[in-house]
Amino acid sequence: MAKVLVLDSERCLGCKLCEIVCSVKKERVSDPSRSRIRVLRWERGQEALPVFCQHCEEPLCALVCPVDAIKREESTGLVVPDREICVGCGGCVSICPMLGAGFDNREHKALRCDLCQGDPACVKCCPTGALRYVDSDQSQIDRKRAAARKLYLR
Amino acid sequence: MKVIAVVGNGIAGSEAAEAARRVDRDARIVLLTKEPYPLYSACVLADYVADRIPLERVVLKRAADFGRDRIDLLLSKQVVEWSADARMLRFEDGELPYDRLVIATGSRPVVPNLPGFNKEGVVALKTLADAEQLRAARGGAAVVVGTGPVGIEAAIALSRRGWKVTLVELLDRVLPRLFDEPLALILKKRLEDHGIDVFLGERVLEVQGDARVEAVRTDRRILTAETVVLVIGMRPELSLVDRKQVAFGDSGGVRVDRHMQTSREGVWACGDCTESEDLVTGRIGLHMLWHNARLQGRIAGANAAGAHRQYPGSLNVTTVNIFDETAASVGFLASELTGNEMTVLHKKAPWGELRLILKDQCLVGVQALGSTDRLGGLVTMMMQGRNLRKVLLKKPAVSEGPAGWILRGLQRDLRRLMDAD
Ligand SMILES: Cc1cc2nc3c(=O)[nH]c(=O)nc-3n(C[C@H](O)[C@H](O)[C@H](O)COP(=O)(O)OP(=O)(O)OC[C@H]3O[C@@H](n4cnc5c(N)ncnc54)[C@H](O)[C@@H]3O)c2cc1C
Repeated sequence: MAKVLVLDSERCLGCKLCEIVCSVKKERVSDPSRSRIRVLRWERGQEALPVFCQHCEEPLCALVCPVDAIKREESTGLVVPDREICVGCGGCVSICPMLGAGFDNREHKALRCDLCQGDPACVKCCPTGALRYVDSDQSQIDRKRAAARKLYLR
Repeated sequence: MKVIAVVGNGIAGSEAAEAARRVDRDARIVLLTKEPYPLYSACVLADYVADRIPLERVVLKRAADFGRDRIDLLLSKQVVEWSADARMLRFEDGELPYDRLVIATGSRPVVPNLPGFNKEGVVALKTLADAEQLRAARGGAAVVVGTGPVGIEAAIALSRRGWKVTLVELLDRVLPRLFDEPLALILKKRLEDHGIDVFLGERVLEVQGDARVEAVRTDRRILTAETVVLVIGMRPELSLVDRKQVAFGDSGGVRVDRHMQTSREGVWACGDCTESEDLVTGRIGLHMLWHNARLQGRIAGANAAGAHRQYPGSLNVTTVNIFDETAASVGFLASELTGNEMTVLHKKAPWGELRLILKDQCLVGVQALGSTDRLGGLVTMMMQGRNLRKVLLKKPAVSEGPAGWILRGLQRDLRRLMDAD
């Protein structure tokens, strides 16, 4: 059964530990701005929202990418950008309805959560259990697909 | 054997041919293009001009990729005549009878009817050949006419090549179709900070010189230049097609139904040469963007091969980069709307700026500068045409995901804004 990263946003305290752990694991630097999971706040003091790639059924980011850098990996089913090919136009960032398309402002390249090859570091460090890595039952997948269809593609 | 012919191998035609193959394993699929290259991305031509990416990154597909899908790709093959009744395409050295046709002939740059625009040294930026011409150009001064996204990209690319670049725009701000004054001003300043001169509200009158470009005369001044990049707009490339063969819309693009079928049976159209509905504004028109062309191509091609897929409409999210600063826009601009039912909420934050345009209590436009991700989160809400006053009576639910989060974040500002009108 496929596993998915899920969020219980009401539990998130906005501590941003996941950003640090992610950047250390994936980029080997402690730099939240280069994390694949991002904890956004609308304004100081307001609620935090962790955002990350949902690996949509029909990803708009792949449709928008002008150099075909974003593809679904056949082996894992994940939607991942190829950093070598990415030109850093940022088109995927503006169009993602889930705010899940990250961007490395230092290297000017798209960043996407790849679930750490099935062992997501953010889940392990999350102090409140807001982030969980769970088996996705079919109804969950169906619901997600229906939502995606309602969003745009049918 | 059934023959599906696709005219034009831009992203729309290329996707159409592939989609047709996925639906029909047996048909003969012929893809004709007047280009000598299999498929390249217009969107990154400026990066190539600026030497930021090599040619291999611009070219997206090789002939072998089409061969694998058993698509007969005919390069440097301009279709010069279409006999719709006889179901026949003619090119210089032959003809092709077909059963189903997909028109994907794209767009071409508008050339104004003014003196001197045929001189050597006047270039558009549309094809790879144009990009090569700009890379090979010699000289030190360039004038770019038009400040749409392509004009801006061209100006930045030439400036990165070391040229002294001047942008001339007829309207009162840069990127006039994408941004209102406040953000357009910031973007203009960014161009100027990088050494590009920007002249607004100025009309280009002629290109001067003998055979070659020597200067551009506007209604205010004369600008010496060895190269003129002309990017004042794109029109559907339909010289092959006649209004008696298929119906055109008011926009000048081919009119298609939800299935991307034209008014003529057995003929589909997709990409820049067609008109479509904007999912956010509801406007029918030319929505010449890469992803729209790609999706339209997929649907037209699949349906030409016998499927019954529907195109949802165009999603006109446009992103521009100005010296590594990103800005994006979708929907109506405040400057396009009149009347007191329109209100604007302009937020500044550490991550950038966000400008929301509301009409009749619905969100109808968003412009973003800096981190543009919040714009994407708002598009769904715009498409649903949700009444924000109603939404704000109770707190937007957590189950609404990012859009709900944005609304909760904006709740106070929105209330203040709406109670004011
Ligand atoms: C410089 C530039 C930058 C851009 N940047 C972006 C961007 O960042 N994001 C974005 O979303 N969009 C961008 N666009 C727009 C985007 O590139 C287009 O919307 C898209 O390429 C349209 O694809 P198409 O296949 O419909 O048409 P085209 O790419 O115009 O392809 C049509 C093809 O048909 C061929 N053809 C035409 N007539 C005939 C004939 N009679 N016989 C044979 N062949 C024929 C043409 O040679 C051409 O190859 C940009 C465009 C340009 C020019």
